[in-house]
Order: sequence, then C-alpha cells, then structure tokens
Amino acid sequence: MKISLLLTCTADLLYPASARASVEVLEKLGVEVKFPRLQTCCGQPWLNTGNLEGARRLALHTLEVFEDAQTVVAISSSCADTVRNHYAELFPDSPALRDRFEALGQRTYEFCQFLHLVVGIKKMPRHPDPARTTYHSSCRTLRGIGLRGVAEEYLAQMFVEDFVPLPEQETCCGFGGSFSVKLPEVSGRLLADKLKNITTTGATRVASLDLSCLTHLSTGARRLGLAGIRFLHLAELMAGALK
Amino acid sequence: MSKAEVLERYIRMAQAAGTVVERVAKAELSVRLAALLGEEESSKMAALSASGWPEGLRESVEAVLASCGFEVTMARKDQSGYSWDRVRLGAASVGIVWCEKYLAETGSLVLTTGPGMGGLASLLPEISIVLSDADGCLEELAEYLHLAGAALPARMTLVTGPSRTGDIEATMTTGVHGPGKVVHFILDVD
Amino acid sequence: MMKASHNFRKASAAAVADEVLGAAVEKTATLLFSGRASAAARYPGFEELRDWGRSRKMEVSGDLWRFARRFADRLEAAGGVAHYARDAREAVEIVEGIARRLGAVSAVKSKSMTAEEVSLNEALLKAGVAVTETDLGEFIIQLAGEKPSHIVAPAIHKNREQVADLFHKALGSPPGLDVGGLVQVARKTLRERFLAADIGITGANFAVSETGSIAIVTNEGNGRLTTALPPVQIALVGIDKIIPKLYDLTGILTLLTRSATGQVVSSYVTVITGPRREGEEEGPRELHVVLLDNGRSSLAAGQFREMLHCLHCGACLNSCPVYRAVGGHAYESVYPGPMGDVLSPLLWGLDAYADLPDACTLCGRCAEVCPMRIPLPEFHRRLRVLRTDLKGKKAAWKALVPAILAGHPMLYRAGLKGMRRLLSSGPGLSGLLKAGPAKAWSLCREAPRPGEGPDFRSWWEQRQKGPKGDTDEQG
Ligand code: SF4
Repeated sequence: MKISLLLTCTADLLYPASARASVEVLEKLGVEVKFPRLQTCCGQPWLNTGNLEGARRLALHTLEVFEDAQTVVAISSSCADTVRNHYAELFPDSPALRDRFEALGQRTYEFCQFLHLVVGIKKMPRHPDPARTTYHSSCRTLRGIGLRGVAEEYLAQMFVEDFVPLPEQETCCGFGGSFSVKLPEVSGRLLADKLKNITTTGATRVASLDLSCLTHLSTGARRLGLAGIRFLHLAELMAGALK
Repeated sequence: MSKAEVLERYIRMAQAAGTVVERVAKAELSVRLAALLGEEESSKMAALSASGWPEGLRESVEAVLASCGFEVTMARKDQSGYSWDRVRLGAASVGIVWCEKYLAETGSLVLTTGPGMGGLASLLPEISIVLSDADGCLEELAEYLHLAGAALPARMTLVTGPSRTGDIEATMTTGVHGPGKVVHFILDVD
Repeated sequence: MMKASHNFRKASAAAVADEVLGAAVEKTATLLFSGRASAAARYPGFEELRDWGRSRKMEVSGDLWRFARRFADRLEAAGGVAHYARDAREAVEIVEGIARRLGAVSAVKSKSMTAEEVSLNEALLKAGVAVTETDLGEFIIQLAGEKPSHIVAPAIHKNREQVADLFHKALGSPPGLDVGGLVQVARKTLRERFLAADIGITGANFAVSETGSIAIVTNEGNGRLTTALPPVQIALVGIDKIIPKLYDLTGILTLLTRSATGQVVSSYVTVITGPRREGEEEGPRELHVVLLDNGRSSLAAGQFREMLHCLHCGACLNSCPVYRAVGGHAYESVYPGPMGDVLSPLLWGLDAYADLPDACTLCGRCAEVCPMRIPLPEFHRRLRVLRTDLKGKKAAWKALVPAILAGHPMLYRAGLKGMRRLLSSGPGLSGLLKAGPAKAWSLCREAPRPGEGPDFRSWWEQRQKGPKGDTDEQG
C-alpha cells in the first residue's frame, strides 16, 4: 500500500517529531510513504476566516500536488477534515472541479483513521515506557472526520491501566483557529478548563490527533508552569510501542 | 399493544411526569376521593366542571365533596352561556374535572374546551383531580388527532404532570402557576 | 434592539471574569444538555425524526407566504383575526392599536422571543399598558430590569440568592427564601395580575397552516393561563413558526421538548383554534395573531434559509462552549449562542453584529444537537465570508497575499524557515508578542516552540539519500 503524506503546515513548522513518527509507524505497518515536496498549507485558515479566494488557491495547489496520489494521509485532523469535507464546496460553480475535489477527499484520511479503516490495525503492542497517559479527542477528530473511540482503544492497548480517559472529552479546548486570537479571553477560559481536566487525570502525557489543539494546550500549559506534562501526537507513542 | 398494555404505559409515563395515578373500581370512587379530600387542609372550596360528565357521576362527586365539608363552585349558565364566579373560583383549593381521553405515549391528559367544560377548574386550584374511564386511554397524540378530525375545540390542552419550573438554578419546583399536584383517578368499568 | 457597535470581545472578556455568572450558566446548561442527550438516546428513531422534522420545515421555508396565508384564512374561519407585520415597527403598531381601541391598561405576557425581537414591552409601556412577564424566569429579569440571557431559561445567569434578594427588594417577600418559597411568592403575585389583565400576549411555538391553530408549550402553565383568563389574546408569531399540518405537531413537539429540556413533553401544550366559542366560560373573546416577517422572507430566499427552521429549543446554546463560558448577555441580542450568532447579524445587520460570527470555535457540537440539523458552524463560516465581502477589496487583498505566498512552494518554505528561526529565538519573539494577534495569543499562552531535532523536510531528504544515495522521485 502506498500513501502520500500530507504533512500539514503545523507539523512542518512545529512538529517534526510527530511527522517523523508518523512515517515510522506507517512504514513499520507495511505502508509505503511518499512525501510530495511541493505541498504547502491546505488553506484551512482562509477557509475558516471567510477568505474564500485564499482557500481556493491553496485547495487548488493541494489538488495539483496530490491528485496523482493513490491515498493521502494527513497527520492532523483539522487538515484532513478540510480536504475531506470542505474543498469541494469551495467550487460551487465548477462541477468538474467539484468532482476532482470530492475524489481527492474520498481518498484522504487522517493518520489514525487510516490505520483503523484502511490498514485495518486492530491491536497495538504494549508501550515499553509506561506512564499515565490521557487523550484529547479534538472536535475535528470527533465531529469533522467522525473518529470516535479509535485512538482511545489503541492507547488502552499500549498503556493498559495507565491510560486514563479525559473527563469532558467532547468539549472544545478553545483553540478554534482565529478564535484563539480574536477572543483570547474566552479561548483562555476554555483552555484553562481543559488543562484542569487534564491535571485531574494525573497524566504526564497527553496524546492527540490534532496538532493545532496540541499547540494551544502545550503553550497554555507552559504559561501555567505545568512542566511535567508532555503533549504528543499519537504517532509518537505508537512509534515507541512498535520499536 | 393490547389495551391493558397501553394503559400500563400511560400509568408509567404519567407517573414519571409527576401525576399521581390511581385505578379504582367505580364503586370505590367515593371512598378513595373522600380519603384524598380528607387530607386537604386548606380552603374547603372545590371547583367543578359543569358538563362533560358521564351520567350521574358529577352528582356523586358533589355528594362526596359535601360529606367532606367542601363547598362547590361551578360555572353557571345563563343566556350568554357559562361563566364562573371568579371570587369563588379563586378561593378553590381543589378542582375536579372529567377527562375523556388521555395519551399513553407521553402520559398526557387531553383537556378540551366546550360550554361548561370547566378547564379553569383544572388550572387555577392547587390540586387538580381528574377522572376518566379506563377505556379512554389512547396510544398517542396522532391517534387522538385522527379521532378528533376536523372537530377541533377552541382550546385543547395536553396536561402532563403538575405545573413546574426550573427557572431558578434549574431546581425543579411544582405549582408555579397551575396545580402543584395532579391526581388522576382511572375508573374501571366493572 | 439594534446595537450600533457591539463589541463581543470586550463583553465576553468581562463575562468570563464573572465567576458567579459562569457557575450559574454552567450548572443549568449542563443539566439541560445532559437532559437532552438522554432524552434523545431514549427515543428510538430520534435521528430519523430529526430528518423528518427538517423535511417538514423545508416544505414551509420553500413557500413561506403560501403557508402563512393559508394559516391566516383558517384562523379567520375559526373566528380569529390575522394581521400582517412586515417589520418590528408594524408589529408594534398593530398591537398598540388593539390596546388603544380596548383602552387596555394591563397585560400579562407568556414568554415570547418574538416579542423581545420587536421590543414589544417597551412600546406597550409607552402606550400606557403595563406588561407583566409571567414566565418565572422572565418575571425575574423583568423585576431586575435586565434582558433574557437564554431563549429557554431566561434567568439562567442568576442564582437563588440573587433572586431571593430581588424578590425581597421588589416584592417585599421575606429575605433568604428557598426556591420553593420564591416560587410561591411568584405564584401569588402573578395570579393577581392574570386575573386583572386586559390582554394576554403570547408568542407561539407553532402555527398550524392547515387549521389556523397556534400551539403554546410551557411547563409552568403560564401559557395556558395567559390564553384562558384575559378577555383578549394577541399572539405575535414569526412566520417561520408555521408547520403544514396538525399532525406534524406530534413529531415536532417531540423534537422540541426533548431537545430543549430533555422532557418527553412539557407540562402544558395548548392548541388554540380561534377565540372562545359560544357558551364557553374560558378563553379570549378576541384572538389576534400578528404574523411577523421582519426579514424572514428574505432569509428564505437565500443561503441561510434553514435558520427559519429553528425551533428555539436552546439546545445549541447549551452545547456551545462559548455560550457556556460567557452566558447570554455578552451577545447583546435576544438571540444568544450559536443560533444568535447567525440570526442577529441576519436580522439586524452584519455591521451591527460584525464580530458575532467569530464567537464560534467551529467545534461542531451545536450542529450535532440541533433537532432541525441546521448547519450552524457552516453558517458562521458563511457569515465570515459575507463580512469579508463587506470589508472591501483592500482587506480581501491583505488576506489573500499570504495565501498567494503560501501557495508557492519555495516562498512557503522560506517563510517557514524564517518563522522557525523567529520562534526558536527568544528576543525576536518577545518583540512580536507586543502586537496584534501575537499579543492576543500570549494573553494565556507562551509562544509555540518548534520541536527538537531536524525539521521534517531535511530529515526526509537525508533519509531518501540513504545508503544508496537515492533521491525522492517526486518533488
Ligand atoms: S438552532 Fe437548532 S439547536 Fe439552536 S435553538 Fe434553533 S433548533 Fe434549537
């Protein structure tokens, strides 16, 4: 099986380790990974702030880069959601483009979703380095790409009783893209609530499939001096377990 | 669903909504009603609907009320139709009406208007007592609407449990505008 | 109603800082939210029912005025009077006219967001009619001189102590009453007003086109009293409240009550078809229904048509992280929360409520609970697009430039490299944090730091070269 990695600009800028781990995990599980180097950003920031022209440009660029790919795997949920569920509607007046974007969307997956649905991974080995771990199921993972319970299942297999579900896990962490800087007070309040829930689990690791949420959570934790908690992409933990 | 099951369901749903449901044989009604009224401490005024009752039932209810020391107020009929004595109605602590149909799906009574039907008797007093026949129970609203057809009353109210509010700290409290207690006597035919 | 310069950031920042408010809103919203969740789960076929409900409302919003006219015909056939109001001003004038003709001095009112929408109370007060709100929550905020902060639970922002204090001061009740005691005080006070009122004012949860009936749903019974005791009833009904057939009531009621409070059905559902009939002893002798457009028919013609399907159940408010954090007042509109973010700009102008479309993290929870499956997050996005269009060419261009750059692989990579360097260096960053979005970011967060190790692209290239010195064939 061959996939093309949609790195996402967040990983490109901030999360090289998550991206490296994703490649390692995919390869370990027998997936051949390609990395189209001309890729940039999926355009989500423009889509969500109402600048459709910008979103269209980046959608078209992404289409150009990935159109020949058999399968696309994105390593952040919100980007996968953008490609899967929002590209086509950017081009209401061009049925031909819509079709091409719909086709691209149908073969684009989020990393964990891909492992679960396409590769059919049912089980993860125990992680050699157990530590209390919890999971932030981002809104876009839950309600964008519709993945519920899968990452939790993998985590429970890797960490057994060291995996602690996060209370109020369906509630938004308050990132929301431009929301985080347009309404920083509300964003900060939701962030604080989320971090409070995280600390009650006693976890020292927080895994997620959404890198933007992780940025928001980790920088917020740093502000509060919560030094003992690491924020990781699920792939990083999987890479450790599969070593 | 059999008739008995439908009735069972009504009782379950009505109770869940806070209605007190009592099944009584017709012959026992007087005793049970008297027992209920005997507990009633406040004003000894009862409001009664004037019409809609099955043959003779209103008179036996009036007799029970009298034996328990209750005065009765009813809407009176003159040339312009029925009207209440608002002062007496306002003083009533108990209201008693007949209800033809009630719904299992939601545990609701269907109260309709008509001359002398006395809807206010089931609305203004603290305690609302409602009497029905066991075979008045329908499965759901759709069935009722089907039966009623085009003949809609001016006002039809589905009453499901007591008047309640959660407007202060979401604390459920009954009796805010309408009755705080609804008792439904279901009369068995035998 | 219109706000000249609503500033949601400022209002929300203040609200977030108010702990009493936060706790009160959170408590009720959580209860209503979980009530809805279990009520939906307990009803087999709830998801199908949502689809069905949506399709019924689609039919109506596809031809609003046809349904409205038929409603009016049937209402008049049943002895009621139908009025048409194009906007808030006309609606208010119609009601004032009726009040003046009757020489009315007092009215009782059962909760109506539509009446709030046209500021009816204020207008009637000027016309010499004292209006008493009879829904307990509305009564509380009327006494407090405030505005509702939730479309179903208007006094959600107040705790018991605050209400006890208010009743003590305004109604002379003993201080420190518990909830039961407060409810009794309200009962006594309001009962007198019901009995004395010249007019009963209501909204309607539904208006049935087929029969000319209106349905009013309450738990307290104030809807039933308002329509039973006063000699005249005036119902103010948005034309979006119409449902095609009486039978539709069965499913739509289920959707409404389960979504609003999690109840199987509310305590009182009153279906009114015309005024009091001959010989009857209750109900109004005159029944007026004011059918209000106020922008609704133009909504029906556009991309926000589905907003007209809203049942005003409040489920989206209870599910919304922003609403729960700030409460209703920060929105400065009768319609707060997700549905309000969309409706307020549509009804009163995007310039008046320019920043409400931003009051959303796009988390998608509201769409998940909305009984009518209104795509609320998508509507927030669309409003942001409209706003961009309004801002003009220059602003659009300013937003577009970074997209053009980002779409160019070399420039994108160069830009990223620069950013990475900036974020990795302490001093460069602190300068950045003093302004604009970076400053807002740093209000509660540190600057992000690029992760350890080589960046992904260099790592990948290194790896591709590998022992055999291959290079990636793509690129
Ligand atoms: S938008 Fe949907 S969830 Fe929100 S109030 Fe309207 S019907 Fe209810």
